Amino acid sequence: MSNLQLEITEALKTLQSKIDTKNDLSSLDMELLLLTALIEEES
Amino acid sequence: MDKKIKICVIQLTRIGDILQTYVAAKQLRSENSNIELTLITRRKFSTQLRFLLKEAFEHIIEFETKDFLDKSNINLREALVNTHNFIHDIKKNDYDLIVNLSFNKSSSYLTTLIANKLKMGLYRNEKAQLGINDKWSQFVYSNVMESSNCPINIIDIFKGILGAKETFATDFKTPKNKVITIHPFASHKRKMWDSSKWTNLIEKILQSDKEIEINLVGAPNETSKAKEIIDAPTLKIFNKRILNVVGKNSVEDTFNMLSESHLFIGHDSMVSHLAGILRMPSVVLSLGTVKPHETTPYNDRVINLSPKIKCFPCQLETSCELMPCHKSLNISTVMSVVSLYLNDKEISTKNLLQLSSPLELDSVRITKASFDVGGLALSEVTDNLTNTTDSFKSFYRLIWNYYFRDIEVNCDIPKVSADTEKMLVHHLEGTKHLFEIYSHGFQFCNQILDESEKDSPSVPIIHERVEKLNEIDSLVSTTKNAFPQLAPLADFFFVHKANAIGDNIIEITNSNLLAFHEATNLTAIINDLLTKTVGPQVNQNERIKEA
Repeated sequence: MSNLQLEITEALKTLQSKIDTKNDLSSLDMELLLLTALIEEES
Repeated sequence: MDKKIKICVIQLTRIGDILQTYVAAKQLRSENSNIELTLITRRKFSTQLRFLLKEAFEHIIEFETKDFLDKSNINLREALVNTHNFIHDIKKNDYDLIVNLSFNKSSSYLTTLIANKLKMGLYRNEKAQLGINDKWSQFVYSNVMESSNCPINIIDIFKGILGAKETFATDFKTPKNKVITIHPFASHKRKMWDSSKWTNLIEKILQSDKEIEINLVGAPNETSKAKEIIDAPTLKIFNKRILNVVGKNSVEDTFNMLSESHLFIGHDSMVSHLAGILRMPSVVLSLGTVKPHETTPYNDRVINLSPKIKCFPCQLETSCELMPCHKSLNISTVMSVVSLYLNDKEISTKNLLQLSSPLELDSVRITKASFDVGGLALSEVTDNLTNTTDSFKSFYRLIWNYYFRDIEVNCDIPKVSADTEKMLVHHLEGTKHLFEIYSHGFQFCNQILDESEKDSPSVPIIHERVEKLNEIDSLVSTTKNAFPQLAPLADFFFVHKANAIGDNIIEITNSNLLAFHEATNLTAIINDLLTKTVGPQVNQNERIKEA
């Protein structure tokens, strides 16, 4: 797994805890989710 | 001069979807001079289509994921800065409306990030949960993505989402030559005949008339398959009459080649959609996962042939090694259709039976496309009895057009066999159950609203009615499992209610009240159509009594 993928995995974990604690996501969070989805769809 | 309405269309999926988006967008633009259209798309799919896309879109924003990962050892922060800059640049355009026609994950986030005002199609709420505001997109989510029973062409759905109303048919002048352009490939092996079948068909076509010439077209990754077809010993003597340009032509070259051909033959693929844009005579073979009613090229000069076999169309996830649908769609029947077309004869059961055996003919569904007020319609050219699924398909085409577009399409009462009649009678009972369940839903919503209007509303009563509404969903699900042809209706209203508009319980209940009212109406129409189809022998108790 590349460093970028490791960083994304960690960032998504943090994001998930934010969702679990019912906090609203910011546009920066959405940008992370967009980037992750684009990478997923490429593979 | 009035300021133009800026609409941004997102289409991040494949080349065929971009072509379908183009047709719908072009229609929208021809009906509205005060709009400015932008398309956001993936460069690898759209670059070759620019010659067409520029007719519909003033601006095309192309990107690739690798644009955000512009160096090999990039870290997350840098990739996110690139992503942010991309979004920031798009947002500067301040679109009045974002229309997401892609129905995939990335497009839902992109829609959310760039929408300042109105948005249609998939998006995410502030908890990253999926949301869909408009009914047409809810229909795609509930009836197109997982189902094989959608009776409406995807271009008509895209037109519905965009708000285009008419169907513009170009006036293709069929050249007087005898050139046939063939694209014998598709995106998956399940969707296309093997090489030997194509060799055989091409041989038969060339034998039938010595003036016929064939163009073989396709993409660079299809060159080895093309070689397999034309290097077959049986085609050696016809080499001078076959022009193989597979892998050599651009999409625009292929488009121009089609425009100079008398007929197109191929599978449901990007090239068949190019032929559809030209509105040229086409014979399209649908196999495997292809859903003819949904994706047949938007062209009223198409004859579609598909296998008449229970597992067709299949799901990609279902394993299939033998591909029985390929055998069912036999060469003889395809050749018969091509032959009748080339000899300017009507494609009818009587004429087909002079060229193919009843057994061969009986394993193929042959449908002819036409345009009506509902858009593209497929009707069988052979005099077959309609099965249960196809009976429901015509009912659904009627009710969805009535519901979404307020138009009435013609629906002939299907002629059915005794076995099909039994299935329809069974589903007639299902419509009665569904009608009662939705009517209860309507009543519970009314009771919540009545209670909430009181000076001192009882929270326990409201809570109890909300619980009842949850039971309604569960009962609908049970009914759907027992009467599977009612799934399209049940699934749509499940998604529609899940996306109820409102910020509080009263607004949401009002929205659900309307949804239950609409659901009961549509269920009653299906009940009525079923009653008419199965005839007067049906027990009158199965009919839904008018309220």
